[in-house]
Amino acid sequence: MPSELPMNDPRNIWQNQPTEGCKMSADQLRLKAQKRQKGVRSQVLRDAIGGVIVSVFFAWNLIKVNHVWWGVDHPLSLWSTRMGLGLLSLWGLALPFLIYKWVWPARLAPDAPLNTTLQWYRSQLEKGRDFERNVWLLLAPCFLGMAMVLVPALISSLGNPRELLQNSLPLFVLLAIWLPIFLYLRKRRRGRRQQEIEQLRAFERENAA
Amino acid sequence: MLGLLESCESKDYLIVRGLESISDNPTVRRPEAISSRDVSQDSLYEQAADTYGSALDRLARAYELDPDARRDLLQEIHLQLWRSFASFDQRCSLRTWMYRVAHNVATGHVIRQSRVRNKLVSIEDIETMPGSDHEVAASQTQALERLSLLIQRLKPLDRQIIVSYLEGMDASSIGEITGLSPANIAMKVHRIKTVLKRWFDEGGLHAK
Repeated sequence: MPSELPMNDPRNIWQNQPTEGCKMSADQLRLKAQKRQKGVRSQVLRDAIGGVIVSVFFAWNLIKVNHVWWGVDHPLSLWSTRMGLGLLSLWGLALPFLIYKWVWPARLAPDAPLNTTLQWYRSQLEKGRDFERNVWLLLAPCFLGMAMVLVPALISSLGNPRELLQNSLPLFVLLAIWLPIFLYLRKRRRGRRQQEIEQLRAFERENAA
Repeated sequence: MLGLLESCESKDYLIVRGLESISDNPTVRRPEAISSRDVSQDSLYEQAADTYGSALDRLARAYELDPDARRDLLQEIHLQLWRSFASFDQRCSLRTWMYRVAHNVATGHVIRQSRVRNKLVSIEDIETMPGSDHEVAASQTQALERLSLLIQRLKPLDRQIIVSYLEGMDASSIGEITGLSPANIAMKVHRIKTVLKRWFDEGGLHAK
């Protein structure tokens, strides 16, 4: 690096900054890629095993349950609990696949350099937006399953509003605080992301014209 | 649960989908079994790394200030660059290809850091910001740090343009890499120049 550079020339300062260098040999790169592939396979395996454990846990409870855990001991309540557990068990099985499909971001598609950086960036923002839209599909079976397990308790408390209030007040208070904040932040984030996507699309249109 | 999923999205370790192509890629195999296609891929990588190695180092600095994270990012750029040369078909120049891959990998790095990403601004925003927070940079190292900090505040597309400008590229080269129209590039570069002038002349280096 030259000792004296024009101090007001950012280009000079930038181009003459010290660099470390990180060139790897092709063999090193191959080994690195293989190592990573191996790591990713184990991650997939770990997630799949985790999903199976969750599924087996709920399936086991589904088999063993022969009375309602809480609330009215009524055949309908028992069926609601069983269906909830069944749904949670299926959700546990499907979860690794759903995460794989929606959550795991692609690093770089092989054809990415054929597109401009503008197109690539827009596509990544769109992926993020679509994930946020689809996250409910990922979570809905879990919430529904839990609700079906809890519904008998709520039904039993309907005749006794005081008990209902006592039992469920903390949950509802937490929900009432969390939900508006969560929805507001989501909306704001989605709005910003969409605005950026629109701006990038406008740039693309301009360039096409 | 949502937090967990979002942290999964931002975490770097979930990379299966990107690597499917590596697992399908015939070039990823034992080093001793190398075909002529691999040789071409390897030689292209060698050529790019020899010619643009320093530029890649500088590009990584534009996206990551932390030295360890920057080293990881740089390795990732090199890995993806090598990988990409398996499908290099000369539809664009080696330089354009190399910069597209590097910027895309680095932009992916920014996207995964969702907390950082939400605070990024455009060059237009920086242009209108008051200059009172400018500190005096007494040395070249400080000037470089300030320049890096300025770049780190920018949204990915503006960051790509400023890096390309600082690397000395002309508008058509920047347009080829980014896909922006010449008019947009000219406008952005003009703003970048104004901001840099303000940072380096008025509030920066000479305001001692």
